[in-house]
Parts: sequence; structure tokens; C-alpha cells
Amino acid sequence: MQNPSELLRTARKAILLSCALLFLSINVSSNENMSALYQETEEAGQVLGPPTTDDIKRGERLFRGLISPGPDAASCASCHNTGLIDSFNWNPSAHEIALAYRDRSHDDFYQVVMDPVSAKMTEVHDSYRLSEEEIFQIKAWMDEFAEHGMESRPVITSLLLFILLFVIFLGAIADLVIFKKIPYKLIHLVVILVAGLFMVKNIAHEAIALGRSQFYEPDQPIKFSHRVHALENQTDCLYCHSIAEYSHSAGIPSTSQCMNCHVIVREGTYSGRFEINKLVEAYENDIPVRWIRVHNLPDHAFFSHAQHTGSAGLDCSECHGEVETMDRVKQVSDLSMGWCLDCHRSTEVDVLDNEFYSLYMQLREDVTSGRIDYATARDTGGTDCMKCHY
Amino acid sequence: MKKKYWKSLEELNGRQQQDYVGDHLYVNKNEMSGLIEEKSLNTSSSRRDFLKLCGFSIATSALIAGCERPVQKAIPYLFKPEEITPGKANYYASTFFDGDDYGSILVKVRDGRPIKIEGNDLCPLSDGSASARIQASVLELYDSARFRHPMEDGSQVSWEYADKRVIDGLRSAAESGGKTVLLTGTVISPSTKSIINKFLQKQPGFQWVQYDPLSFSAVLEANRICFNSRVVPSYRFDNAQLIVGFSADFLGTWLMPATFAGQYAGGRRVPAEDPQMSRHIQFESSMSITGAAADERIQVKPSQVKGVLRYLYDRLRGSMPVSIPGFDATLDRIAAELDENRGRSLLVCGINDIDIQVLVNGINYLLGNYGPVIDFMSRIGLRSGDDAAMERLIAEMKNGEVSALLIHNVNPVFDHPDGEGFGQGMERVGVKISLAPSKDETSALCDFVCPDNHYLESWGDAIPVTWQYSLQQPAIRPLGDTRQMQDSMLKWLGEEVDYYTYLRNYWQVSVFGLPEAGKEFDDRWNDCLQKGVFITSIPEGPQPSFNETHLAEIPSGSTVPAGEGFFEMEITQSIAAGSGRHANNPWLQELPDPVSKLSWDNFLAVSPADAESLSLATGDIVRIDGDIRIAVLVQPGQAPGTVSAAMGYGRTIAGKVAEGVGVNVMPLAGFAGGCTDYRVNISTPERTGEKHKMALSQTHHSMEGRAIVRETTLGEYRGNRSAGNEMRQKILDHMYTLYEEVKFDGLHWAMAIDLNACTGCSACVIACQAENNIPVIGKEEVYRRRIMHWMRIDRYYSGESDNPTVHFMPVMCQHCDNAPCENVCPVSATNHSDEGINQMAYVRCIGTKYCINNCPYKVRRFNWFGYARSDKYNSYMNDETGRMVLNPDVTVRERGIVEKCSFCIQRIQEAKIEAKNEGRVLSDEELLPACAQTCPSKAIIFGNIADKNSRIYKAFQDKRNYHLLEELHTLPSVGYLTRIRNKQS
Repeated sequence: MQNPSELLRTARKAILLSCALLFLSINVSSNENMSALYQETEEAGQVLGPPTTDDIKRGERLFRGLISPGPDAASCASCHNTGLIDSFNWNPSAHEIALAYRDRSHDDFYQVVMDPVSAKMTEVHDSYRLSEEEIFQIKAWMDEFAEHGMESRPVITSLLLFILLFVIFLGAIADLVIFKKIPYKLIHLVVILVAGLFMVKNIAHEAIALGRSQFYEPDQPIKFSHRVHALENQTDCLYCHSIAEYSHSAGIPSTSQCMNCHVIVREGTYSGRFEINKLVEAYENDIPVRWIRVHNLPDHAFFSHAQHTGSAGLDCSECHGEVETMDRVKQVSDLSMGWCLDCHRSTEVDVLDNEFYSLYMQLREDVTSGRIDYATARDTGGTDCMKCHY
Repeated sequence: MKKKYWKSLEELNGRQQQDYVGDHLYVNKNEMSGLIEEKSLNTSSSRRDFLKLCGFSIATSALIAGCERPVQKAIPYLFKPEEITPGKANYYASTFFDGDDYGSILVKVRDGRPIKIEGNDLCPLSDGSASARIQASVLELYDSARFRHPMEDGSQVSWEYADKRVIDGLRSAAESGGKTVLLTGTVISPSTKSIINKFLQKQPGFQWVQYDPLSFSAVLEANRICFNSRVVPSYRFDNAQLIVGFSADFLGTWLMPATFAGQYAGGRRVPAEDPQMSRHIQFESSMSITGAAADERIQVKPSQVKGVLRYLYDRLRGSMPVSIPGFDATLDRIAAELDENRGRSLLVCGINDIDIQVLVNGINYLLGNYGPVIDFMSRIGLRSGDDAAMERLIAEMKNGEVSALLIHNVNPVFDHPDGEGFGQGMERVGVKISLAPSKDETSALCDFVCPDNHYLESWGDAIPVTWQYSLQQPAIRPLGDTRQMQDSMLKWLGEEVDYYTYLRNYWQVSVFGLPEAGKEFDDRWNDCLQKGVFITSIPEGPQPSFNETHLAEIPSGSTVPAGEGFFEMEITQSIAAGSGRHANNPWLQELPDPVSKLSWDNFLAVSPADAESLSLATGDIVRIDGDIRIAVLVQPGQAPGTVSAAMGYGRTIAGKVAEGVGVNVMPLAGFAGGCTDYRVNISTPERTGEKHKMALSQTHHSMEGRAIVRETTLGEYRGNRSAGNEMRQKILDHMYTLYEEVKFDGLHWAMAIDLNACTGCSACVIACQAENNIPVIGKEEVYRRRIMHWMRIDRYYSGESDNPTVHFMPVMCQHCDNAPCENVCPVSATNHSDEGINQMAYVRCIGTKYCINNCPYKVRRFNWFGYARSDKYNSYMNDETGRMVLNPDVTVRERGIVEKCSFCIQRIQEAKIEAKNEGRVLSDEELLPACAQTCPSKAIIFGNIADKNSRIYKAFQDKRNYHLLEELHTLPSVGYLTRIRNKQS
């Protein structure tokens, strides 16, 4: 502490180092939940009769419930979110509706709001008492809303937390060395230690998660719910992902396969007609559905669903988690190499019954003679690099 | 005496390996400037700079990595076709015929994209194999030089417009009374022939000319003269005990090389129980792989061949031959050998000269080879082009007698000796219509281009030999707005029917002979479509009688040899380039010629003796006859006084790959006796003092003075099964190790290569390239000794430099159980698998290249640059459509990492998973790496050596088996079977 210039240099170095570390922790998380549909801009539609600014303002108030849409009626916005949300909402968002009805007439819009076809909507919209003019105003606002998109709200990310801690950390150092306003050095020590430890933890955490996307749970262009299909309606995984048993890929069912059922099922228990309509529209207009891929292995890792569901006999849930309880699919495992290898090292391989392993005479003998309890994937070469990387 | 093996003339003469052109190994600064900034080369950088850079790169990489991963879309089919399973390949049987080569093939289609060609094992001609050119043809599907739409004078038009103009053009041609000529390559499709016949009936003045750049006119004409049958008979090399070849490269380029190589190898494989093999004598001037395979190679000048044949004929007939100085004793011996092998010998000759071919026929007839070895009952449909008709056509065109010209599948402006004359003739033709699929010299002179599909986009059929029908089916929709030739012809004929329907009708009526379409037809059609071939009974019957009249007129003795100051030149074909129609294929351009080891060029082969007397060295540019300037390559084995150069190079309009590669030597060729003459006399090559960069792929990995190829003779082998391989026992006796022997339980992959069967044809190299996404790096990089092929064919010479014995040895990663590369990798990116594979984890590799330095076999390749990304490289991988050919099961390697043969691990894994899921033993037969799968001579045996019943286990037990540099105790998993030559002495 004798030489202030040396200390300054040290501080500068520390700042430089911290800046570098800061970069490391940058984690931009904003459009994770953006649905694919929103990213596609479409041409603006025509509006019947030019709505005035007042119309638009009034429409927004009606939608948000500042002007009551009817006695005991919930506001539109209470079901149809106007901003990005983390949770899963069965109802179409305000923006989706705006996009869907941008190019359609006011009569259509009136019809669907006031006299809906689907049971669930009828029940909810029953209490609405909206005049034709009010519907016009809501549509006017929505047409404008279609252009703006969803309202984003600030998300506190680990980056902001990191910056905050970093500022406190720097402040503590600055006070300790230069300003010396706080008399008790213990406070400095505690602050520096705690903030430092948190930052290190943050960096370590982010570094390990680099390139992985555990808990990734994007909104899909169609609110397809595995819970509804696999749990409530008891559809087998392999009905849709039929090639999982004999191809590398598990396969996403083709739109025509969805239509096997949806040619009849046109109304969902929770979603009404809105989501299924998207499917039907895609099918009829020959536009493939652009699902968002959740489970992404890097290109240099070759994984075969056929082997894991076939001879290994794994259940889908062992890697994918309880998909049948998910409305929106979420990546449960981190899909890291360590995670793969853990399983390969411990999982039993049935070397005695599968004739393929008849060549592994030594291994079979080891198992039958009880020298080892059971053979693992590792014993049959399951941890070799070139089992997955080639 | 110990045989001296050598790889280049410098090595033989004990000179240092000198670089042919200056110090090219040290890249000069100008060349580097694009790669590294000038500044960093000049200034010294301090530790501080290094740390700064370090910090910066860490921060940048962290910034990039810290960002969110891009959102990836998963887009399923709207309607999934029943037969497509994403992630699994389908194989469709089809037919390859480009005008030169035929092959029944299986097209591997992955997610809708054809990505690899394999031979169809149900076809006796292909027997599961495919030549290098057939293998490479899949890449041409994605060639960016292909026409995407019909064109008029170089600008895009619609099909409706083009059709209207063509039909108008044909009508006015007919009305004017001029000729309408359809110029095609050989057509072996019966349905196409019937469409052409319809044209013949409909269009007045219609004439059909077939033209082959690789002409067989003399063979056809000689057979017409001798047997009154203008056809190519089928040859059975497997039935011949004694094969005598005269400038016929039947293992590399002559007629049906892949088929013949298979037949030939059948007779060359020596069973240990009863050592027997055929004998092969080759007369030739230039060094071909067939000459390399021969037991005895006799150098002969092209001008001497006729005399030699006459001598043999006279000797065999018992009359007194006219002596040929220097040959008499040899010829007497060969005549005696032929006499011993009556009815089981075969003479073939590749010279396009009627007299010579008549003599060959005469000798074969005298020996009674017609029937057992040469069969007129089953005829080969290939090469029905008529040189004389082509000559006439050029004259007619120049006279203005031709009003309309339709050109399909040939490029005479480039590959005809009188290409210039053909071009001039075209100027006088009323309407010129090209059906070329991609741009070439001839279509550039046409009024209309109505582009044909690639063959993988087309329907079709073929009769390659009398007893085999072959079906062709599309494996992908046309990538551009192209239409297959037959459809265009039908359209211009005014037929309503499309070719697919036409083809089905044709097969129903003419092939199956069914009166009506129905279930029976559908069943048979689908069966043929699935199998690719339909084999009728092999016809039997008497061979045609021989007419000796012409033979008697051929004068005895040698023809006049080239005088003083002249060289006899032979225009040959290279395995990669052929007639030059595949020149825009980078796989083929980068494929080193198996003998000269040169890629990306043709060259003038000069014998070492002539090179010395003319003081020429490899890389010297010489001027021969007129304006042709070509680089010299001193080729051991080239007959003194002769030179040779390959055709198919020097394309001027072909696409970015081919243009400017090599020199077109076809203008030198002449026309004699009704046939194109590929032999010419040229003036002495004249030095220009300039040097040419020769992209040689071999001199950079020399294995100095060690016994690499082991060889013996049949006689010695009969007495001692370990003959030639005695040193193996000595080495095994001295193998002591302190380490425990590695044991493999279950699977241990291994490969054995029968050096007796390997012909060096290089089909394996291309198969490997297609299977494993191996980049093409371009001439400049090959020149810098950076060729990426995982499988290379090493070529060694032994004996005298004038006429050496040539040895081929395919070398790939030897998968040593005691691998030197594995020990030195600092990051353990390469290590040994439980199945004996030396595995390479690309993602882990940091590019120290220690492994490359420590590998005694030099089989590891380093990615000096990002070949798949940079536009700098002439690679298919950086091409928008070219990369569609990539195999999705193999990683495309990044810059800065090492790669090498993986024993096609992706194929192993696929077969294993299938067997595992079905709960059965993995059979030896179902699993082959790409090289072994395609090998025409079945020289590569692959399998599980841990299985005592496997073929590979038996091959490894063979006393002929040895390992490359086994004295190093690397314990390779690749074995080689000692080569046996059937030498008389």
C-alpha cells in the first residue's frame, strides 16, 4: 500500500481482467421465447374505412379492459397476452390474433368474437357485450398492433446481475484503495469476497453451459401439446415418431400424418380451433410447418435413435424426460458428452441374449462366470471416440 | 540377388530428390501474401503482443460462445413419401452409360439426394464394382457448369419457344431438301434407338451418325471383313490362360475395363492349395496399368506392332515369318506359348488400324479362341461409332449439304482430330441444336441448346451385351429446367407420349413380349427396376466363319519406322480423364494417374534414354508439331523413340474446373484407312526453356530402401508358399515386447490386400473420396504435397529404368495395434478403439501434426486450410450445389486438423446397429468399406479377424501375408498378400 501508482496499475489490470471476464458471462436472452410466426413479416393488409386515432386508442382500451367489454366479462388481454411471457398460454396471443385477422374483414372478426364456433370460446365470450363499432375499434388497434409486435419487457439476466456485482466489487476496491470512506476493512473484505465468489460462480456456470441448452423450451409455431396427445389421449410416442426404431433420427411426423387424426379432430380441449386451424391451413396450402428444434446435438456427434430404442431398449423418457407432461417441450438433459458417457459406463447391456454378442466370448464368459455382475456399454466399446464421432 | 526397388529416377540414380521446379516447397512470400498479412511477416512480435492477442482471442471467443445458439428449425415433410426414412439411405438400381463406359449401378440416395454410386452386384458385368469414372459421375449431377434451361444463342428461352423453333427448323430443313443429321455417341438404349428410327421414317433426309471419341472402328471393320459381322464380340479374360495384349489397356481404359479387371483378377488369384494363374504378356510403348500388371512387358513401337503380329501369325500358321530385328527370339517363344494354349489364349489390341485388327482376328482364329474366349454370340453393344461416317459428315457439312444438325452426348469440336474442321463445317449448317447437359466446345457453336438431364435424373434402358437388359431410373428430380433427350426427341416428333410411358410400352412389347399392360407386366417391370438388370439366356451357337482373303493381302514385315528426327507418338487415355467428357469433375482431375502419379494435367511421356539425349527433365515445356506446347514427364518404361500423351485434357469451354487444365493433343491425331489414327509421327520435341508445375503426388512420401512390396514367381511359390515373404518369419522370430499383447474380444477389424489382384485402377480412391467427404484442394495445393486422399496407390519400380517392373500398392491408414501416432498425440485425439480401429476424433484435434510426423506410413492428412469454406480452392465443397453430394454421416473437417482412413466407420456402425437390433451375428459379407466394395478385381478383403471363420482371418493366415514395415512392430491391421508373377524363367 506504500506506492499508490503501483496500486493504480494493479487496479487497472484488475479492471482489464474483469472486462475480459465480463465478456465471458454475457448472456443475451431475449427472443428465446419468440415464436417462429412472429419473425415472419407479412405485407400489411387493407383496412376497411380509415380508422381515426381515437378509434385505435379506444380499441386498445377496450382490449386491455380499461373500458369494460361487458358486465362480468374479463378483458380480452386477460386471456390474450399482449407481451412476451415465459409461461405457456393456451390462448392465442393478441399478436397472433392480430396477424391472423389482419387481412380479413371486420365482419369475420365480429363473427369470431361475438359468435364463435368452438365451445371454449363460446363459453368465455358469452358475456361480451360489444357493439359493432367497438369491434371495429378493437380491430383497428389490432391491425396496428400487428405491425408493432409483442411488447418486450426488461428481463433480468445473469448479465445484469453480473454487472451489478462487478460495480459493487469495483466500488469496494476503489474505496479500500483510494477513497477510504468506510472505516471498517472487514466490510470491504466481505463485499469483495461475496461479490467475487458470485462472479466466479457465474462465470463457471456459464462456461460449463457453453454450447449446451439444457432447459431450452421455445414457443412452437403451433401450440402442440405432448401432454394432450401422449398423456390425455394416450397416443404412443412411436405412433408419431415412428422411425425412431429404425433410423438415426426419431423424425418429426409429416403434416399429413398429423392430419390422420386432425382430419376429424378440429377443435382442441384447451386451444379451441385456433391452433388446429394453423395445421389445417399449412396442410391445405402446402406450407410445411417450421417447428423449432429443441434437442440439438452438434454436427460432429452421430447418435442413433434406432440403437438406443432398439437393442438398448431405452425408454424415450430416459433422455427426453417426461415429455407426456409437457405442454411445451423442454430439453431436460444437458446432452453433454459426460452425460452420454455416464450412461454408457453404467447401463447394462444384454450380451447373453442378443446373438450379436456371441462373438464377444470373453465378455460372455465373464458375465456367466460371475466375474463381473453385468456387462456395460463400455465393455462392448461404448466409450470409444469413433462410436459417435466420425 | 536382391531386387532394387525405386520410385523415381532420382532415387534410382542415387541423386538427391530434387525438386522439379526450384524450391517450391518453400512457399514464396508473394504466394503467402494472401494468407498472412505482410506486416506480421516483417516485424518481430514480442511476448506482450502475444499476450494481447491471447487476451483478445479469448475475449472474442467467449463473446461469440456466450451468445445464444441460433434457433434451428426442424421442418418435416408435408407428405412423407412412403419409401423415404429421414436419416436412412435408399439404394436405387440404375444404369450408367456415358457413351464410353457402361455400368449397372446402385445409387445411394440420402434424404432425396443421390450421394454415392456403387456397383450392382446382381449384374454379372459390374459384379458390385464401379470404375473411378462411374464413381465420380455423381458429382457431375451437382456441377454448376450444367445448363439450367434451354437457350438460344446463349440466352435463356422457354421450352415452348425452343420446341417451336426446333420443329420449325427441322421442317424447313426437310423442305429445303438438305440433310438432317443426328450425331450421337454410341447408343445402347433399345428404346432410344426406336425413337431415332421413328425420326428416320418421319424426317426426309434424316441421317444418324454415331461417333466415338475412343474409337473402335477398326475392330468393327475388321470383324466385318473377317466374320461379316460388324460388332464387338465379348471377351472372357477369365477363360484365358495366356493373355497377350498389344497397346490395349484393358485394365484401365479399353472397352469395359472394370468388367475385364474382374475377369482378369479371377485368373490371377493364386489358390494356395493348387497354385495356378494365368499368364499375361503385354506389348506396348507407353506405360499403362495393364503393362504394369503383366508378367512380361515388351516394349514395342507403334509402327512395329503390325510386323510383330504378322510374325506371330506366320509362325503359328507354320509359314516362314519375315524377321524383325531384335524380336525374333522373343516372338518365337511367345508363339510357342500361344501354341500350347490353343483355345484358352487371348490376343487383344488397342490400335485403331484395320490391318492390325484383322491380324489379331487371324491369330485368335488360328488358336481356336473364338468360342471359349471370344464370343460372337454375345456381343458388346459399346463403341459402335463409325469414324468413316464422321469423316463423311464433316465433308458434307463443309459442302453445305447439311441443313439441320442435332448433337447429343458428343463433343467433336473438342475431341475429334479434325475438331476445327467440324467447327468450320457447323458454320454452314442451317440449324444446329445441341442436347448437351453441360457446356462444352460444340454446344457453344450451336443455335439452340436443349439441355439433357443428368443420367441420375433420367429414365432409360440399355443393352450392354446381347444377353443383358439394363434399366435406368431417376434418383432425383431434374435440378434445373432440363428435359431428357428422349423426351425432347418425342416432342419434336410430335408424339404426345412422354418417354417414361414410351419406355414402359417398349419394354412391354419388345422386351417382355406381352400383348397388353397389366399385372404381369407391372410385376416384371418392377422386378427389373428393382434389380436394375434383366438377364436373358446367354445365347449359344456356332461362331461365324472366318474369311482369310483380306489377311492374305496384308504385307509381311515391319512398316516403315519413323525416320531420323521423328518420334512416334501415341495418343493414350488416362484413367481419370478418358475422352475428356468428365473433365469438369474435380474428383477425377485430382485423381493421380496411377503410373505417373500426376494429377491436374496431361503430359508428354518421354523415355529416360530419350530424355537424356534431348536433355529433357520432368517439368520442361516442349513444343511438338506446330503450336502444341506440353510439359514433359520422364516415364520409365516408355519405349525409346516413342512418346505418348493422354487425350481428354485442354478443355476450353467446360466449366471452372476443367478449363485450362492440360493440353488437347487430339488435333495431332490423323485419319488413315477409314479409322481415326491415334499414332502419329511428330518432330523431335523442342525445348522452350520454360518450366511447368507438375502436381505429382508421390515423391513426397518415400520409403527409402525398405522391402515394401514383396514379390515372387509362380515357380518359386509352387515350391515354397512363403517364397518372397521369407523375411516375415525372421521378423516374427525377433518380435519381443515388454508390453502385454493387446487382445480383442468380439470385433477386430482388419483388411488384406491381394497385391496379385490389385491393378492400380484407382476406383477405390474415388470411392473413398465420395464416401468420406474428402476435399479437393486444387493443383497448387497438390503441388505443395498436400493431397488429401485417404487411400493412395503407391507405385514402385524395380529393375531397369528403361523397362522396369511396376508395382502398385494401395496404402491407407494401417490401423496399427501398436500405433506410433497414438502415443504422441498430446490431446489424445487419436487413440485405439476396442475394435482395433485407430480412431481420430476431429473435434479434439488441435493440429500439432505430431501424429503425421510419427506415422511411418504417412497416411495422415492435414487440413492446411478450410477447404470446405474458402473460395480459394477448386473444391466441390464450397460450391452451392456441389456440397449436396456430401455424405451426411461423415463430418466435414475444419481447418487445422488431421484426418485419415477410418475403415469407413460409418458403414461399420450402420451394419453393427442393424445386426444388433435384429439380434443376429454380423456377417462377414454384409459390411465392406467403400474401397473394398468398389474394387473391380476384388483385391481388398475386409472383415472381423476375431472371427476365426471369416475370410479375412483366412487371408491373414495365408503364408503370403505380410505387413507394411512390420519390422517396426507397429502391428498393423492391414495385411498385404505377396505378389506372384507368372514368369517363365
